[in-house]
Amino acid sequence: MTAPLLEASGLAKIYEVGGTAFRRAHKVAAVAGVDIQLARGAALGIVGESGCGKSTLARLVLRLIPATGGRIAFAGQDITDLPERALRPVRRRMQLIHQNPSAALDPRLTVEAAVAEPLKIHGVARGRALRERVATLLADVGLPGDFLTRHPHELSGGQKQRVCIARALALGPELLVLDEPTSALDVSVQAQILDFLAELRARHQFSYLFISHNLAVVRQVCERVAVMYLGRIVEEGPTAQVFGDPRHPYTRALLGSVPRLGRAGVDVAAAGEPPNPAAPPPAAPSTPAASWPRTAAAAAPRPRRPSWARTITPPPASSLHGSGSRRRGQANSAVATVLASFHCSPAPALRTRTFHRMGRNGLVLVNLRLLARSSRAAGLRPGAVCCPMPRCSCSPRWWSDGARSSP
Amino acid sequence: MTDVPASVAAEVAQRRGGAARRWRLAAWLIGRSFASMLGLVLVAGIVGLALLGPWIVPYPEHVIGQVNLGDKLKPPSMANWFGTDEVGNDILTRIIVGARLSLLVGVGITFAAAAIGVPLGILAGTAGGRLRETIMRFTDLFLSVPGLVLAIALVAALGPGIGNAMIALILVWWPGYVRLSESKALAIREEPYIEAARVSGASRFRILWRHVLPNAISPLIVKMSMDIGQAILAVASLGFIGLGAKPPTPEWGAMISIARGYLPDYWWYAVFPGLFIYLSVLGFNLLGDGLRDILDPRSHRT
Repeated sequence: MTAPLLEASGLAKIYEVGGTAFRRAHKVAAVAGVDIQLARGAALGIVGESGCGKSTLARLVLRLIPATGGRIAFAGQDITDLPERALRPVRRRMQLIHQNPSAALDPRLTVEAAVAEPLKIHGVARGRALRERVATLLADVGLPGDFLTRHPHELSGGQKQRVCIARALALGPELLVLDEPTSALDVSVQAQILDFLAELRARHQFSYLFISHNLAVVRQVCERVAVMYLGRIVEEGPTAQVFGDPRHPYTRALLGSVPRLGRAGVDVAAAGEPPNPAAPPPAAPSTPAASWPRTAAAAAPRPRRPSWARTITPPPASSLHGSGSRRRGQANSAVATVLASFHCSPAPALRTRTFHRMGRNGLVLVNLRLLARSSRAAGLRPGAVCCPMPRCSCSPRWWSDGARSSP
Repeated sequence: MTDVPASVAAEVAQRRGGAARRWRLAAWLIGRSFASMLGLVLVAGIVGLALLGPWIVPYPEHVIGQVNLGDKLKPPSMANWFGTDEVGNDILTRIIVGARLSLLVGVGITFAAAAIGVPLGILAGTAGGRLRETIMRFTDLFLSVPGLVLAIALVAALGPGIGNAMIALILVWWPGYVRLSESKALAIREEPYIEAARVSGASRFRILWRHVLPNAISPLIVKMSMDIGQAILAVASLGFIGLGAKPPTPEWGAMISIARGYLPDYWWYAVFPGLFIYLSVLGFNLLGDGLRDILDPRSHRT
């Protein structure tokens, strides 16, 4: 076997937080010694819950943030300490697809300018040739030419993600790092983008480093998968093996927390909140303990599901797949999010925490009237509604019990 | 790889020939709101007066301060719409000619202050660390003294005169731009599209110039428009307390300063220059509000 395209060994990122002139900074290990190898043309999935360091790992590998330990080698070249100028030719060969395409495109640039930017920076083409190149790239990602002069706000989420992909493809990279490329998209668009990514890989022989908390997506895209927990990889192997016969208790818990349709209620395997890397639970995360540690709230006896959750009747599977009007689409993703968020902790632990401290899986009840109305149509009790992007839908000043009582 | 069909190329060309279209859109957006329309009209009026001033005034010889004591302090009439001053000069003439000075001073102060403040602010916002601390604390030093008081002190030190008044006002004006552009740059720095540009290999300068500055510019333009009005007011204030333009120069603040001694009997002498100060400040403020609407890229919907 030839040398891997990407190889990281002992990669670590330790943040120092809260340090002042008078107080010693607290050290938080976002990534604590990760080894990964990615062969040419392969796809490696990184899964784990919010805050486990997946996205930090992606940024470390791309040299967007400096590592505090370990080495990164790309195509046999050590790029750990390469200065920015020398890194530029390497940047051509590795690209990133962001989680949220709406934020990843400069609102002031037209689609044409956005896709042309990497080509201009690397002096690949100019003038007429550049324009033609951009138009071809857009055609490649399935967007018609009249999109060239549009601004990002005129596009839908899926179209924006296609523009981002076109931008990433512009330089003919060998490695694509995908940071939850579909989690901000509508359920019906996710499948399209995933199919498209798979097709691209088949056509161009890319390597994917695919970061996601969506296990189903990883199963579909990647041959190998690594499970991350608290900044470490606890289990790695071929996808079928890891998902079919999980070794580590955390992997088992993660798999158990996947919501399934057509069943009354949901297995609540991973109860409690995701562990806080700033105050990791007592036992070392690498210990293959029979039960991995959760935060103290989870250790206390409690009902398996929050009591209010029982009031939600999971809707028939069919209602999750309609992709009619925009409102309908929102209701669908809302329902999906409700199901996905069943495993978060019930009210008492949350009561004193503001929203920005809760993870993405944090339970969020929102009083969006629109969602409430459309979810009532979908058979949900009013009020018990989550929004596709909980972070955006809550004022950071609300407390969770305040939000719960407001609808 | 697919070829680009001719129809698409034509469509692109058509959409690109859109400079005129964008101007029409901007005009429509301004015309939609009465307030911004009023602002535009007022500013256009002031600019018109400033450009045409010397050629349209009824008594060009009154500009540099002729003495016609026989006509002194006459009330508004058909011959002198705004009346005459204490040496018999036509007030309308002097106001119109003063527009050029006020406008130049207002625009000059604002642009100079922005030219100093914006680069510093953007640099501070994106660089972080010690550089940011140095720039921002130095800015705070200036912001901790009331602007006009500092300006008065500076003019007193430099010596009165319109040039020194401008220098003093520029020196107290730039910190506002540092604050505003720094806060914008701080927010933009965290945007994923900045990271996307870095992934593409963009240099630091390119990121500042192509991504941070354009996205920070709209609040800056709005602030600049409003500041032109404020600067006109500030120069008039300095003129009023005798630290700006010297009397025979037709400057609005200086005119009011003299007129103060003739109130309330010769009210027109103070009222009309004051009215023009008021209208120009109002005009630039309303225009600033209108620009806020136009500069938001989300309003560029077709």
